[in-house]
Amino acid sequence: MRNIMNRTEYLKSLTEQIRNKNAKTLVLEEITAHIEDQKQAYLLDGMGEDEAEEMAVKEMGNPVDTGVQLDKIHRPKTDVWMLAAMLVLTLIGIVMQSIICLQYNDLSVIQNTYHTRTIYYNLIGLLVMAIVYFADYRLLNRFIWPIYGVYLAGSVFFLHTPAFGEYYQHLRFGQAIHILFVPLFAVFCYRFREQKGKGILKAFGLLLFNILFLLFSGAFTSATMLLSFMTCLITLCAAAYRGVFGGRKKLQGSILTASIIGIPLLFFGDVLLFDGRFLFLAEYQIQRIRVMLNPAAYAAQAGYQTMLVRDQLSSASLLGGGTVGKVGELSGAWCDYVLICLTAYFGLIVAFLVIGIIAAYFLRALHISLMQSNRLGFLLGVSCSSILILKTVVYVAMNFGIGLTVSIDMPFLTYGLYCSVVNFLFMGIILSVYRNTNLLPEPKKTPPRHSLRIERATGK
Amino acid sequence: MRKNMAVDKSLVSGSTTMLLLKLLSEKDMYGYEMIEELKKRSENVFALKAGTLYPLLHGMEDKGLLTCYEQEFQGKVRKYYSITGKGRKELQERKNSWQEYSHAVASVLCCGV
Repeated sequence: MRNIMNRTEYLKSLTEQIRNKNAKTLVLEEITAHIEDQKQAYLLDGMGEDEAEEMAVKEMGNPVDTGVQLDKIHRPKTDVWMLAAMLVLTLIGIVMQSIICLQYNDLSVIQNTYHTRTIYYNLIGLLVMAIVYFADYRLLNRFIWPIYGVYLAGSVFFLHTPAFGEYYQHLRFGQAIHILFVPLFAVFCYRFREQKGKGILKAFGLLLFNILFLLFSGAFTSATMLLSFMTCLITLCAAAYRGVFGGRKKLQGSILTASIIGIPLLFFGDVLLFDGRFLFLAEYQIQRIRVMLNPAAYAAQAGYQTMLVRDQLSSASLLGGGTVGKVGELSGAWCDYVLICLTAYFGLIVAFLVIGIIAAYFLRALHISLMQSNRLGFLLGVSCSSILILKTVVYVAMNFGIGLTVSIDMPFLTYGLYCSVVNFLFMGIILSVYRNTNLLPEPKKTPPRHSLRIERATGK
Repeated sequence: MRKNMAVDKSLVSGSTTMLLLKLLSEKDMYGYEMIEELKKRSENVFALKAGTLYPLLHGMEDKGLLTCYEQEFQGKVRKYYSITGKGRKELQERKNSWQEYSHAVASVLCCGV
């Protein structure tokens, strides 16, 4: 007598073949929905309940074969190239920072342990990356409000503690705080999904709130703040084009794209035409933009560093050099001018090779993020990739004498604990998203406020 | 004989991928809907089992030919599949191969009396 499998037996037999726990949930939901649809069709045809159920399960085919096929597809993905490139680039960064620090003469500015400290900072960064890589990135969504609360409280607390009173510490911490908002913003965009224009306005409102909050808390680092703001706009734009908010995605995307292009034009236009009057820019900010547009006119003052970089670049050889040059003698060169020092020390060919690898790395990061079906993974990946790309572009431009002279870190190359941890954290998020491609179902929407309160009261 | 069976099996699998891509190039669909539509259009020639469909769909999604999203429909949350640009390109290539193949078969069948 033929053994007829029931739904529970079928699903158990199928999911037993799938090794990944998250993938089992993903597949179980979809297959169960299919059995239900098939059963409903049989019921409409006039079959009885039991017969319809039995036929629906029978129609599914062999569960073991199906499960084995699905198991082959649903496995954690590892991008060996990206992991290897990360280690190589980290090593290059450590080597360059050590070279600069060891050649620096003014020991009142630099401590002689910087070149060993950078090894520890990078190791800490790699550890953070590893932890995040193996974690479930959906936890960010699940605990977003507590995380954001800690972020805000932590910002106020640490920005006002004596340990961060020293200008340099305060600056670097303030930069990290601004940058750390980027993935949180991506999660909030996901939270506001399918709310159309209202969702976009909520996201934008949150973005403005965060900037004002950090400004009043004392985290005033204009370049990083602007970079973080632009990245959040890019994330919002990507969300719109992806249809995360629902409604007319092309219209939403077009308006946001116009903002992304318009805002930098607004800044430059205000400085060039109206001396920064309309945007109430501070004098030093107006000066920075003027220096960027014509550094030669300010060669003896604010344009000195840019002219020094251009001068060093023009005399760089294709290979070799053996010295970090005059730029390497600037205070903070181990943070802000590692790339131009690398050009001077190893030559242009090596420098362009390193830039090429870094560019390929982050473009690949963006590509794998854009391919994500899971919208939360998509938004997290795009936001983290975008900020890393923007920082790289600004840093490379500055190191080739064509950009703003600002304090921005370059992933892999810049010395510092905060920037190392934050950059590796973002790379961990991107790789975690990739690792869990087609494994993690999207988090379900949380119920409306009033029922959420009820669930909290019952301890759910 | 065994060699012909192997060829037939791969031909079916390759054709099914192309047919699913074709359906999705017209509109986004969920799994059950695809099976029913395929059955209807082929006049029950292609009666695809769900156990065959889902590995194909998930495999195509993994290769970037499809994306998916959840949407509520008549009180049920369903997983819809949508074709990507890469998927449309793949569909065109498969259609071209199929047309070349079916033309070649037709030529041979017509020539031999």
